[in-house]
Amino acid sequence: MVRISPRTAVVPALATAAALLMCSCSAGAGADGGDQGKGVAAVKSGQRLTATLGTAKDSQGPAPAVEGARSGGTIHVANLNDYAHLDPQKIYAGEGYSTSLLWGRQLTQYQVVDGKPKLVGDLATDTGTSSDGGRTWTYRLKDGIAWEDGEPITAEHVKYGIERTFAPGFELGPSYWPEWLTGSEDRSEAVKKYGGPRDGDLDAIETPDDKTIVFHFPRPQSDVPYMAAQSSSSPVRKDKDTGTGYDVRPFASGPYRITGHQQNRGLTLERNPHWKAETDPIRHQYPERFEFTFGKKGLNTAQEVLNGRGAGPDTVTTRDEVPPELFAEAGRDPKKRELVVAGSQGAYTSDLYIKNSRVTDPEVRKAIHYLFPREQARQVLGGPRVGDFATTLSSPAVVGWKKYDLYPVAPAGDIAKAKEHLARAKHRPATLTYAYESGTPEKDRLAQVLVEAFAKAGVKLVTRPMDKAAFNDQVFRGDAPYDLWLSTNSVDWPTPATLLPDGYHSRLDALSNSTRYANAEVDRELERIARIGDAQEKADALIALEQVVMKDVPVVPFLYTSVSQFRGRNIGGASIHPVYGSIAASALYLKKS
Amino acid sequence: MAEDHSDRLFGLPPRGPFATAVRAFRRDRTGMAALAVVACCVLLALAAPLLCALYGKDPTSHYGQDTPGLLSAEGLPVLPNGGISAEHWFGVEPGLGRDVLAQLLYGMRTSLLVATASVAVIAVTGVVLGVTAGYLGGLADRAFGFVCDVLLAFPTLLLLLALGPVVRTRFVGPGENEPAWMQFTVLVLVFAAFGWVPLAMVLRTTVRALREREFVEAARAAGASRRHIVFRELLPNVWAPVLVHVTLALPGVVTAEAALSFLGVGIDEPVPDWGRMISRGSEVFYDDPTYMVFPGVTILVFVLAFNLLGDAVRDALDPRTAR
Repeated sequence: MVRISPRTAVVPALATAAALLMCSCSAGAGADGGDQGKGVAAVKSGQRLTATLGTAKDSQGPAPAVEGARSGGTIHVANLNDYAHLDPQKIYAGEGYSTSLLWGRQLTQYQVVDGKPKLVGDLATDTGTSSDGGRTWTYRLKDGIAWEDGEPITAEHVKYGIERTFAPGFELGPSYWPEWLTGSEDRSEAVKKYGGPRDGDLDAIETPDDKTIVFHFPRPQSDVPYMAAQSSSSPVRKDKDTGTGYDVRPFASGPYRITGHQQNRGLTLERNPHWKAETDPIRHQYPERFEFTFGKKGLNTAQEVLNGRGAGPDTVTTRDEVPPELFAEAGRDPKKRELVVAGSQGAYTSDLYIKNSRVTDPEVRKAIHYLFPREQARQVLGGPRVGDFATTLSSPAVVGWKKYDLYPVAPAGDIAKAKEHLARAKHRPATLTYAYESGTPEKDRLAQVLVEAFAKAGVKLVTRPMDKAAFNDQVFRGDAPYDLWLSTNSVDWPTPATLLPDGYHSRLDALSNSTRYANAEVDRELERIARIGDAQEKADALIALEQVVMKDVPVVPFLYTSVSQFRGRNIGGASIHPVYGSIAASALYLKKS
Repeated sequence: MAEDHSDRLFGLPPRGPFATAVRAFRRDRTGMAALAVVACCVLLALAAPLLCALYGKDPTSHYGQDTPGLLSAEGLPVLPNGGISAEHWFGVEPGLGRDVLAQLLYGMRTSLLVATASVAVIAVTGVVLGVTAGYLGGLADRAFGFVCDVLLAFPTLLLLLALGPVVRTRFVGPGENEPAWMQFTVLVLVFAAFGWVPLAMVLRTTVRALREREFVEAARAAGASRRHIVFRELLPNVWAPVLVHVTLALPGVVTAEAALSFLGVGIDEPVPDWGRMISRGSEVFYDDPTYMVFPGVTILVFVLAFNLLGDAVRDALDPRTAR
């Protein structure tokens, strides 16, 4: 055995140390970091959007052309993880919605022009017409819409797709269709009345002919046009429904069809010859192929793309974000800066959740609101790029959003004011417990920021790091012994209809109403609002109610979150989808191929 | 040097083995320099609270967050070279904005505490088990050999990775923080549980050889008790390998502890720790390379000094070992 004596090693070791010291001189962030108005950091998150309803004319194809777009070539999409689900009735995530537009079509969809979304008819000729006070909704299908084998898409296919959402195994998707169509409080009650296609026809959906779909709801529903844009509202053909196989390779109705899917390795899309641009007001068919690859680490992908190495120039990501290690570098170098695609992450907000059943005194919750060090917390998470400070529960991306700031406080927090409120509290807690998902060191640092802020106000904060599974498992139990945690949430579509009713009614379980917020007055108002059939009236009532809820400080608003992704030099048309919050794949093109 | 050493020995009045070793050590310039560095480190660690009080900073305050102008909105030091200034001599930590010098000094305490405690337990366990097995022989020796084989085959790192969350959920109530002493104890116990094996194996072999030597035979013939033989005849002859092993094991524990903290299973926030500092340094390496340098160089110098010291101690005690 060769033994290297430490003495032999001392000279090279010290030389290395000296070399390290000499190379370690670094410029400070003061030169450009302090100038927050410029660079990628200046992302406007939570842009005020009005996802207006388009007319029948807007719903006609083709989609408004992307300026400078060229046809042809292969776009590489590198994402860390494969899609857990491709079955349209199981997809339930913004990025999944956005990317599945490449091969799937729905009744309605968001047409994005200049970053502004407009809900238009997709397979349907318009966003739907309601009658009977919102209890009946009628859709007419367009002419010329076809599956990838050329067969026309009919009303029966849409109906079958929606019927599937009742079936066992489809609990993962949104439960609105089962609940609305049977007039049930939750999915488990709904599936007792109708258990999916195996129970035969669902009477609540009528298809008088191949082109007409009529929904009959026991209770008035105002948000059907938005629900019709969800992936669950995609048509499925009975003879092509391969059960679990459909989750790996669904049958295409959009501009691309899936020609290969090796799970966790790759997904290949090729042009669908039977898709007609003049029927589609949303999607484009610029590149010839899309090659998805899964499994490469985000840092490696980002380095390849930002430095233009290998397939980097032709590569884009729809899931990965600019890794924190590269962010400052990407901001400094103008060539890399233009490859960062940043924008508001849909209607997502990040809030500090307070378990109201444990922190019962509103004065204590107000104290937490005042002492919460928003600026310091955002600093350890990455600075302004992660989002703008929030003062409201809902995101400005929600239709009808109104800015309000019930308890104004400086971003750094106001310890003096927090102490005042604590002094006024009847029951002043000596310690509070903050639970968080460990695994990334910035979460540990965030916990330290909170510990220091709470300590300044005289409250000892106990931190409980847990792994992801334990966090999801334990924190959302009704009797879980944790007082605070940070969580992001979003509405299911950009109206306020799913925010308060699905999270702040006291009869909801701890999974939905995780703060255990209970206010009898709010409950009554929510029940009244549930009976409103008019979309505008309902949205207005919910927006007004939001301030009543927030007066009780059930959560502390933190951020309207932003997302920063990246694209190769050769990729055109990349922007963050204003509703789905990730790079919209259906507008991408190759600048040269 | 070895020959030189033995030549001189004959010309001098007889000395005890310890005095001979000290003399040999004193002549070793590298060893003396290493000793000076080690002594300096120990002194700095012991005096850390005093030094920090004089310096006016503590290792847990978030200076960068509380004082405007130190960190950018992204959490990077505004001043060049990691924010080195008259106020913060080694700069500030990116993100939380703690003082790097204070963190380093207190991090040294963490490292030394874990290392000395582990090494103390290792020395005691190793001596007891090694000498016992060597002296008794037979069944005890075979059992000892089996246990050593099992422990040497044990995946220590995996055990620690798996043990962390278990200890936390089993012994820490939901309404309390995991106490720092518990993290220290777990680390020390795990290092000790696996660290005693090499020492005990060396001692076993040494004692087996010694057992057959004339002076032990003579003591046995004179009717000395087993206790007397172990404590008065055998133990005084094994302190040299113990000392060598201990001085060489200490830097090993320091790096192992840093590695575990780097992986997130060592000492948690907010206790200052070098491994975690290096981990943070690697996250911000592109933007603030200076931050990586201080803990990196400190740990290098610290471990190198301990290794050189161990080397010198071995040379002094065992001149026959050719280098």
